[in-house]
Amino acid sequence: MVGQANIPVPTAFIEHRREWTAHKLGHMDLICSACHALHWQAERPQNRTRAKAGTFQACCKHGDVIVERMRALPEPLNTLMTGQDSQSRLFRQHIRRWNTLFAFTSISCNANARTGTTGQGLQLFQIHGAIYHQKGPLVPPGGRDALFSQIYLYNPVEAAQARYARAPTLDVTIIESLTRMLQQVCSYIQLYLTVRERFAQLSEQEPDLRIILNPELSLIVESGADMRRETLPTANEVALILPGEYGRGGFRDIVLAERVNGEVPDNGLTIINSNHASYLPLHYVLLFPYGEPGWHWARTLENQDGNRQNLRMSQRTFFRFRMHTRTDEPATLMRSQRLFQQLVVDAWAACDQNKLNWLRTNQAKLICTMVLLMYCNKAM
Amino acid sequence: MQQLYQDSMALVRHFGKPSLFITFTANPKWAEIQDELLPGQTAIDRPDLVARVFNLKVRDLLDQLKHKQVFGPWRGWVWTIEYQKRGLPHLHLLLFLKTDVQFLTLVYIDRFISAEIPTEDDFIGQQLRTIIESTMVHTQCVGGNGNALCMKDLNPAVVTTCHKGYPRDILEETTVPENGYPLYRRRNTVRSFIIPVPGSRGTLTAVIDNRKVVPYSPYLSLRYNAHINVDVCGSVQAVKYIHKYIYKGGDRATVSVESEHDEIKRYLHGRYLGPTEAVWRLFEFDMHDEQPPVTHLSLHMPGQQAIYFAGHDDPDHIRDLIEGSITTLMAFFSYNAQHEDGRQFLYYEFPEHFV
Repeated sequence: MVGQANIPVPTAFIEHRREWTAHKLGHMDLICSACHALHWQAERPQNRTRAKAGTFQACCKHGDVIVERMRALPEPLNTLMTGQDSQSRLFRQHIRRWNTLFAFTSISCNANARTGTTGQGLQLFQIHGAIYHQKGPLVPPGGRDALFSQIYLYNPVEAAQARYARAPTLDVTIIESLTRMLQQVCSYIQLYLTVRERFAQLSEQEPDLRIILNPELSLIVESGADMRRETLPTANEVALILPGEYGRGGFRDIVLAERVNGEVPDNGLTIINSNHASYLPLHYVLLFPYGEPGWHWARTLENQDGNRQNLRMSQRTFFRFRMHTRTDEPATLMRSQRLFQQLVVDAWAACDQNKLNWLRTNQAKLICTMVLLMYCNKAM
Repeated sequence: MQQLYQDSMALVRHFGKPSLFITFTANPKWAEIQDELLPGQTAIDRPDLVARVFNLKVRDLLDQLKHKQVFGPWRGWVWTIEYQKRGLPHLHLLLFLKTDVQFLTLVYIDRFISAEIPTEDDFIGQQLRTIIESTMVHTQCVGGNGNALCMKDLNPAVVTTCHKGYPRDILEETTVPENGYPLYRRRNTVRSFIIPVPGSRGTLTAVIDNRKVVPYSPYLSLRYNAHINVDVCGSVQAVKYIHKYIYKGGDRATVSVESEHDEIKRYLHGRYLGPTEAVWRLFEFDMHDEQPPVTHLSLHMPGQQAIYFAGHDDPDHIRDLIEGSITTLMAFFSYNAQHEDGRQFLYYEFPEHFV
């Protein structure tokens, strides 16, 4: 019986109620000595030497993950993201609409019906099924209104007007000031302008023409029947050229402008590969206004202990790094409310889809065959 | 998922019925979350914080159950983390204890599970009462709120009562029916409080008393300040239902049937993904666990065992693999052909004694 013989009364029994206490994690006030991410005491590594070093696994793999820090946002975006005045609060409440207004690419997914503003319970950004980012052609085909990246080719005043036409309920002065701000800081705008200029020049002479942004973030012009390649000089920040790891031309390229047999094909929207370094900045313009590159295959890990076999930085590791608040970078992502929800869902969906694509393309390696032995085998 | 279900049924075959069934839901009002929010934010803006805090709390709960043995000596468990479509993560856990015979009897149940509003005798009682009133009361359907999820019937014309059976009957003593969950003591006390009726926009109020309290462990409720439902597993029948429940798998939607058998496509199309789950997975937090571990034994016809090889392997190597392959089933037969001491055991019992 309880309390007798050798079975002590368990702690959860009412007899012990005077000893009961609440569980408290305290504040998130430990700072990772390698990447300055904030942690709770309970997240400290079990391993003593690790704990002593004051580094953590989740944020930066004990210092092996090095990713450029988020830069302070330009004004007026910074005020809108951090301010507590009613205008800024309203801005953040509708941040997904604002972001769509400025995004170069559109997002395509089956958002769950519950993501709407009706219904009870929490309002969350949830998806059902796969998620894609899409972009349209450089110039809107046949008299249609400009969308997404196309608007950036206008001058700032026209661009603001085109946006206002698409979202007449949003504050026009904010649209104007954000448009002006992006024209100044966003390196992709310059890149799009370069592409348009070059495309117009070459269109005259070449019936077949394609301008792509490859995964190393260099602009490439493919022209002529033999698709000669020429790398465009891009004197701006997007073109921080990543080490080339990819073969020539590939499915990950983003086709910015195209001309086949002298015609601009009306191929509508094309899907952007989630492994492209521009995947994040082209859509989350308000979070990465400078066009900071996202994850790509060429990112590698440091190897401080010398124990790592594989030095590739996984997509998951990269996103996890971004998902921590740090003392040495602004918490831009974590301030973005519904857009942050969208970003984390997008991030995991991209990781998951990547893994699934691997499974899809490597079926041959995975097929396991049941072997029929016609005669009784020896092992029995 | 089916495999997980089979694994945990194997645990039941081994141990008998589980002792306790625990459901632990994250509480967005936790101080740890509220303290770290940026100005003007609420918990739903920060799925990262919710996931990290819940993970730490779950780890503490598991430690309490296994190493601190708060309900008695630990034997094993099965648990899974689920998100529902609502987005708040929760843990379903089946706990196996060594002391069922001693503790899970009528005499003791009232000492660690309660379904009443706590008394405010002392400081602990006062704290507990606040927690229970805010987390452990079934409030959805008070005042006959027909919009509550628990009142919905598949046929909208049918007027139903609450699926969960609230309000329950007043009961002076805890009883344990032959097959089923125990009916916990809910005495007719004066302790009650008033809440606004959900959906009435503050125009109506309802009185909450013991009949509306979800069974809880005072110890765990005080420790975690969250919705933690603790139930004694009444019978083996109840177990099957719970296992199905805890292993119903990732949130899925109805999907159309296509002729093409594409597992990947099926997975993608049937997937629901919310922010908390996304963070949970990005952070690589554990999704489920079983202890003691369950091994799969193979089952096949003579000469039809599965072997694994790569498409580019040398044919000689594949032949060696085929001839050298010994599965658990083949080993079982060959041992018993040579020895007599294992013959009283069935195949699934065999590894416990002879590995």
